[in-house]
Amino acid sequence: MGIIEKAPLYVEKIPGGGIVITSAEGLLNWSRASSLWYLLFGLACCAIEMMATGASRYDFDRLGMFFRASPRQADLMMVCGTVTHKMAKRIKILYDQMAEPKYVLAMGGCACDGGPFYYDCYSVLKGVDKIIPVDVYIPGCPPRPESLLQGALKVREKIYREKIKDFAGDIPPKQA
Amino acid sequence: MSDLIDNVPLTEEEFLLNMGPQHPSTHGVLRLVLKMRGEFIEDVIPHIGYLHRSIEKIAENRTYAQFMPYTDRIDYCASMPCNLAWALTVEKLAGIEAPPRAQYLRVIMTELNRIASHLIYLGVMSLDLGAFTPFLYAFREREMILDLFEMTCGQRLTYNYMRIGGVSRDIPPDFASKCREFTRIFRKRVDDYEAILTNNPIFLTRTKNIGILPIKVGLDYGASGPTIRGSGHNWDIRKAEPYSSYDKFDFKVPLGKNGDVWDRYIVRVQEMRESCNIVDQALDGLPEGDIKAKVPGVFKPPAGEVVMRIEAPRGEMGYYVVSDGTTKPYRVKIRTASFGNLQVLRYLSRGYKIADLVAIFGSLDVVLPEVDR
Amino acid sequence: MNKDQIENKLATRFGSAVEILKTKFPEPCMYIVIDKYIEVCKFLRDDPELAFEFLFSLAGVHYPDRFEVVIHLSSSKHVHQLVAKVKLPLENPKIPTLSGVWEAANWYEREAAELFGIVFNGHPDPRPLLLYDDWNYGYPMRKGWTGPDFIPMPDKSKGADE
Repeated sequence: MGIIEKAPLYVEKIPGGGIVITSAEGLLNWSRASSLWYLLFGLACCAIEMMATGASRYDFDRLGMFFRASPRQADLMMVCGTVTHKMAKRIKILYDQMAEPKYVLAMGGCACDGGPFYYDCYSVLKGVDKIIPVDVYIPGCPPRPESLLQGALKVREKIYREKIKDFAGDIPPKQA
Repeated sequence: MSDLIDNVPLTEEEFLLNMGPQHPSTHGVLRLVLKMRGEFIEDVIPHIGYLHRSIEKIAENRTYAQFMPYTDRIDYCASMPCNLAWALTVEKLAGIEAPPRAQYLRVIMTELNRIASHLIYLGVMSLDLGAFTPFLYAFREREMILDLFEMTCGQRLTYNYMRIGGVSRDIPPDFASKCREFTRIFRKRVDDYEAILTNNPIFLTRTKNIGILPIKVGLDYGASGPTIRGSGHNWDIRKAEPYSSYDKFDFKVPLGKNGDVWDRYIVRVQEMRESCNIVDQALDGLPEGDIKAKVPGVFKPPAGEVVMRIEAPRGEMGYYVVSDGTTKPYRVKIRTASFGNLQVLRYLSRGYKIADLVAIFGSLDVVLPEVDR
Repeated sequence: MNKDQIENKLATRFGSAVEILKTKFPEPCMYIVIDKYIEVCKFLRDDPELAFEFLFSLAGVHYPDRFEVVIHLSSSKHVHQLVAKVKLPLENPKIPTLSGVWEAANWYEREAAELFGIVFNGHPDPRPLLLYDDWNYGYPMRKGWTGPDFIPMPDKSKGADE
């Protein structure tokens, strides 16, 4: 991503360069959003609803989303189910193994903030956003497949609003 | 130079292989540490506890009625039987009996959920063995069952339908016709699944004579349900100690012969057909009346201890409740089927390759929240 | 065999080591003295008229004055069940392991050991089962335990503040 990172900072200074950059951004965002591959990461009850959403009646494949078993090949991690302290370390490892750009969707009450296991529970992490950054929260216990599809569409909307500048750094100072 | 390659003797060493908590065929968060010698497995050490949600500790701080939604989450593939077991345990402690209409409705819902749970087993097991089509077929049928449940109680997965003393809602007027339509269609669809899988040469090679479980070993390890009925042990709590008017229905208990993976698959497929028969009989004989017995609003059962068990789709499931006469239980111990079934994995998988381990583990039909609670 | 026959058989065979409790449920319920615990369990498993080959569950319970280990047995040959309990002191609760009698007891005892602190002598594999590896906050299922990340339910009764 080296050239793409530095391109907007230099190209925008040319008159008319902004049009080039926004078109490039549009192309990159469209290609990333239309083919989000999600990591098969079902922990608990919401995993069955995720599997049902990927099956025949509510289909994920029509949005271009297909499940991958390995985090190295996935863009989107759908944390479906309760996160316990024992599993939290492994979730962080999996999140680190995914390649940029990556997105996280917290599905269900347990992943958002602990859900029904908030009170009187010693082993549950109250919300997965305590260890990894989350883009979209979907409440419900478990959320209906339609809610999950809307959550996936919201991730797509978020991707369409991205700019290359978010991934780039500032222009490095000229070494005198 | 060729000396370095030709005359070196090949050695085999033991090594440890980690099938980590995130793996497509561990059906949840289970970690298996495999001690391998070359291609063959010498020992399997399961590490569990990645979904330990301390439901037993939560039970000590909720009233008996407030605990009912938590019982759904113990086994989410079959949450009606878990609800039913809790309701029956508390009713046994307090000496309440549910009215006949409620008992028949409980039977209908439990058997429909048994079919749904076995469909998940079918889909996921074929997905593990490499066949994607039965997964989509099974989930298509399961959507029909979930429509019926949604019509009755509003939820698709975790129902919270049973109450102490009966059920929470009566069935709507068009439930009976839609349910009969479903059982009529479903019997033909089970024949379709059998046509794809049962005599398929690839399926037979991967499942026949793999993971044979002798009855004595299975009982010693605490295995129950279709896992042990696949070996020929004729034990079903619905027939031996009938609860909730199961003794009024006529159904067979399918048994296997050898105890291998194929037998456990056939037992579950035939159980789906028998459940269709039970649902039809229950709809034919559904009595009129109340759906819930009179239970006081502030419910305080007498002090004492009780144990009650039922036949869940995965095996024997039950609760042990210690009550001290207040509105909240003193101690609740949840005994689940998968806890016993998973202990057999260590015995069954010695000497097999990893691909066989996947087939054996799929045939035990283990759901991890049942193991970890 | 029904409840009275099982109770009589055990009372005549073991005398005062087995203390029968009166309950209104169809399963016989008894306390076993800890010295005869393994012997009684082996008799329950091996006797052809009792034939309790299936250990349904093994649970630990924490009372204010004692611990208890409760086992539930069942027999598919004779279709009967049994509940047996052992009393343990509050300090240093120790009990011999049942995993030599029924293999199923292996994981139940590991769970009771890490959640209650009961020591099972002779257990082949006394590692923690459910809690995470660097857990050192005590025994969570004991009454009155508190620890990190344990938020008790606020009292919502009338007159209590949120």
